[in-house]
Order: sequence, then structure tokens, then C-alpha cells
Amino acid sequence: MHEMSIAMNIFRIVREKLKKMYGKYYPVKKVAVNIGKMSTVVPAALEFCFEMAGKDTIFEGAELEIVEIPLKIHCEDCKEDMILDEPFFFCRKCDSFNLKILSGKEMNVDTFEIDETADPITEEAMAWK
Amino acid sequence: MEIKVTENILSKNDQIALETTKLLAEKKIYCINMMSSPGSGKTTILERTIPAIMDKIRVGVIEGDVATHIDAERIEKFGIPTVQITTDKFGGACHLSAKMIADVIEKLPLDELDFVVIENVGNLICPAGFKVGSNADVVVQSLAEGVEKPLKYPVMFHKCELALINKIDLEEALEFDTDTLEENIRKVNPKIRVMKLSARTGEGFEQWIEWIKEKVG
Ligand SMILES: Nc1nc2c(ncn2[C@@H]2O[C@H](COP(=O)(O)OP(=O)(O)OP(=O)(O)O)[C@@H](O)[C@H]2O)c(=O)[nH]1
Ligand SMILES: [Mg+2]
Ligand SMILES: [Zn+2]
Repeated sequence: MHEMSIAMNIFRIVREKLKKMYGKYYPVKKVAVNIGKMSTVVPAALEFCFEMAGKDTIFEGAELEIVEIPLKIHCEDCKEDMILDEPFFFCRKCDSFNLKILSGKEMNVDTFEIDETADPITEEAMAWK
Repeated sequence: MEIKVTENILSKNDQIALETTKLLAEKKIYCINMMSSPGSGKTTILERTIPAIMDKIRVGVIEGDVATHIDAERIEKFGIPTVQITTDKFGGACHLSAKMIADVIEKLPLDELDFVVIENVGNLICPAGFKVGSNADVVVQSLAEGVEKPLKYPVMFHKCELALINKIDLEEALEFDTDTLEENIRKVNPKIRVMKLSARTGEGFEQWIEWIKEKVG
């Protein structure tokens, strides 16, 4: 269960971006993350941690949108691209093991939305959060 | 307002891991990260490995047994540099992060070492997600855990370049189907090397010791 540290890292990335853009922190309405099938993250657990750890912060009440990215491979032998529904690494067309992973290992913060009409919190006030 | 970021959630962990990799390269050290479920035999394997290599290879160990000092004490008795990751008496940590390693690695006398082994926390899920800066990831699975572990924890087995199947001395008593286990490991990672051994009897250790000598060079 390392979803708590994943949630904390999501918060860190969003805060750093806000700091860079505005020098202050607006309430966050939504965060969209891409989570690959091969990333060991359990979406429900991440949602739970995101909500719990977000209480009393700029993330309170924010929606977490988790986009699951399928495990997609390219077969170097028959040149076919395909999505694997099971993590068994052979080409479904020609049985080759000579594969390249195209997607499925992602763990990214993609976008987030803020409420810029709300009062922003300053750096000093953040320190207390 | 929507703001675009596209940043890897674990980029900070990866950065720190990279620093560790660089430091180790500078010191000409080869480092492995040993992972497994609890009790598959990581420490016992080390107890048999260390005396077999220590006349030629200067080895140090980082023990990730976060709840107790027991494993570190088992390694220290060989008189080799051993570092214990800060303890959590209630066993709350599920993996070693790059930062935990970076914080302690310089407690090892890096100028006097060729080989560093990190014994990760016993867990097949969380350590798979966190790079620590090692050169190779090694997974240990014992017969007692059944043949389906690789199918249940594919990410771990996919990430590793070597799988040690331990406790083969129990094969007969457990009527264990080691071939199916090996097949399952290869299903999730066709390129992995698999070695069967017993830390109890020493069977199968030659190839493992050979592997280390080759890697450490
Ligand atoms: N029969 C048999 N028992 C073994 C073998 N290797 C280890 N054991 C036993 O398995 C138990 C666990 O071994 P450890 O080496 O402590 O396992 P570990 O992976 O370090 O455990 P954690 O650090 O707690 O995750 C001990 O009782 C060992 O004596 C083996 O090859 N054969
Ligand atoms: Mg141990
Ligand atoms: Zn193919």
C-alpha cells in the first residue's frame, strides 16, 4: 500500500506548479492522473488516500480523475501493435517474446483545475497546512 | 481553469535514485536490490553468499528490515559493513524509497567496496514501484509460496533481471512443481534469468556466485 506516498507526490507536483505560476495557491477542483496497468497502483486505494490526505488543504473536496492506461506492446518480429489484457509477455499473433512496451507503465499527473475566483492562500499560510 | 503538467508522479524518487546510481558508478560499485515476499529467504541467501565471495569481493549490505535489527545483526557477524534503515517498530513501511537509500548509503565505506546489496522490505507490490538506484533488481521466491506468485505479482517479476527460486530442498516434501513456477515467471518476463537454489543446503549456489562475480567484474 504505497498509494499514500503517491497521493503526497501528486499534491507536491500540483503545489510546485502553482507556486511557479502564481506564487500562491488556489483551491484545486480536480486533478487528472494517468495510471498504467503495470504501475502497481490500485485506483480505489489512491482515491481514498487522495481524499483523506487532502482534508484541510487546497485539495479538500477535489475530484481525482484516474485515467487507466492499457498495457500496449509492439511486436518486433511481426510488427503488430496490440493491447494485452493479461500481463503475459508474448505476442498474441506470432508468439514472439521480442516485444517493446508502448504504454502501461505511466504514472503521471496530467492536468489539474483550480478555482481562480476563490481567495488564494499565500506561501506563509501554506506552511501551516 | 485547467493547467497542464504531465509530470511523472515519482519523478522526484527517480531523480534521487539516479543520484545514487551516479555515486555508485563513481565509486565503481555494483549494486543489487533484492526483493521478495516476507520470509522467502533473502537474509539466509546472503548469509551463504557473503562467506563465498568475501575473499575476492568487498561487499556491503543495506538492510531494509524496517521493524527490527535482526537481519542486520545476522549480516554484521561476517564483519562486513552493514547499514540498517531507520526503524519503524510497528512495521509500517512497505518499501524502501530512493531517499531512504540515499540518506544512508554514505554510511557505507564506499571507497572500500565493490558490491552493495540492498535487502528490500518483504513485499512483492510496493518495492516494484520505487527505484532505489541499484544496477540490477533481483526477486527471490521460495517454493513454500506456491506456483502462482508471479501471476499475482507480475510487475515485480517483470521488473527484475534475475529470479532466484529458493528452498528447493523442500521440493520433494512439498511435492512442488518447480517447472510450472519457472514457466509462470517466464510468462510475465520472458527475458528473466532464473536460478534454482537452496540457502539451507547450498545447492545451486555456484551459478548465483558466478553471476555476482561476472556482474561485479
Ligand atoms: N528449508 C529451507 N528453509 C529456508 C531456506 N532459506 C531460508 N529458509 C528459512 O526461511 C525462513 C525465512 O528466511 P529469511 O532469510 O529470514 O527470509 P527473508 O526473506 O530475509 O525474510 P524477511 O527479511 O523477513 O522478509 C528462515 O526460517 C530460514 O531458515 C532454504 O533454502 N530452505
Ligand atoms: Mg530478511
Ligand atoms: Zn508478433
